[in-house]
Amino acid sequence: MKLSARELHELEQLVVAWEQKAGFRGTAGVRARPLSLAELIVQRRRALERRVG
Amino acid sequence: MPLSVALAEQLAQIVLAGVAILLTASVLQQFRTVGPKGHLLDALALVPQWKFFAQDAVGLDPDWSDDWHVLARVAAIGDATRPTPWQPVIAPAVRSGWHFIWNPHGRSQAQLLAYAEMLGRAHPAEPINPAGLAYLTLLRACFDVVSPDRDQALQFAVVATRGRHERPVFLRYLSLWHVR
Repeated sequence: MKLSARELHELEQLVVAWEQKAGFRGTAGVRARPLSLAELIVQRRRALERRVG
Repeated sequence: MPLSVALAEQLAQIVLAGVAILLTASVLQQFRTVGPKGHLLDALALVPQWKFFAQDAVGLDPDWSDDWHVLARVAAIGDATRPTPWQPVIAPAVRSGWHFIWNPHGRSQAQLLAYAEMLGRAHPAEPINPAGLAYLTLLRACFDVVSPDRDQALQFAVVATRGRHERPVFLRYLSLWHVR
């Protein structure tokens, strides 16, 4: 069952509190160059290759 | 020969008694959690350690009956404008009777929810690795559902709810921002 409008509103407040606790506010976390999915996949592949030897 | 028949009957009675004890212990386990001493008596772990008709596993806290959701939002890269509202990506599905027979997406949905639960239950002292399988799989699912533009970044949240009506909302994990 998806979140209702009330629950989504509650989530927004929880996210703001989380971000403030983490040290950034609003969309300040959207950096000029966020990590890309492709970069993460490459990182994972390299880590697996190192593990395999 | 008559002796062996009698022996077989005795053995059958012993086995029957053993099965009856096991079934009784299994039924009792549904109503009362057995402590560590009880587990010592059941060294072979023959008595089930879970309940048949309840969401909560025996001996575990109520957090284990949480429903898990993954939501995502997008925002322009480097822009301070407000991000879009949260969009549902993965939510516990309402199962119909038909799903008992045909539910092709059931396994993949369950795996995604398991990954969400994995991130949501991670200990705060252990930072999540964004290159980990659970994180990457959820991120990919979010990109597939939300499809942000080239100049937009995406963030996902793992949320837990409990119950069906007036349910409380818990934010369990908030991801970094990512581009495709």
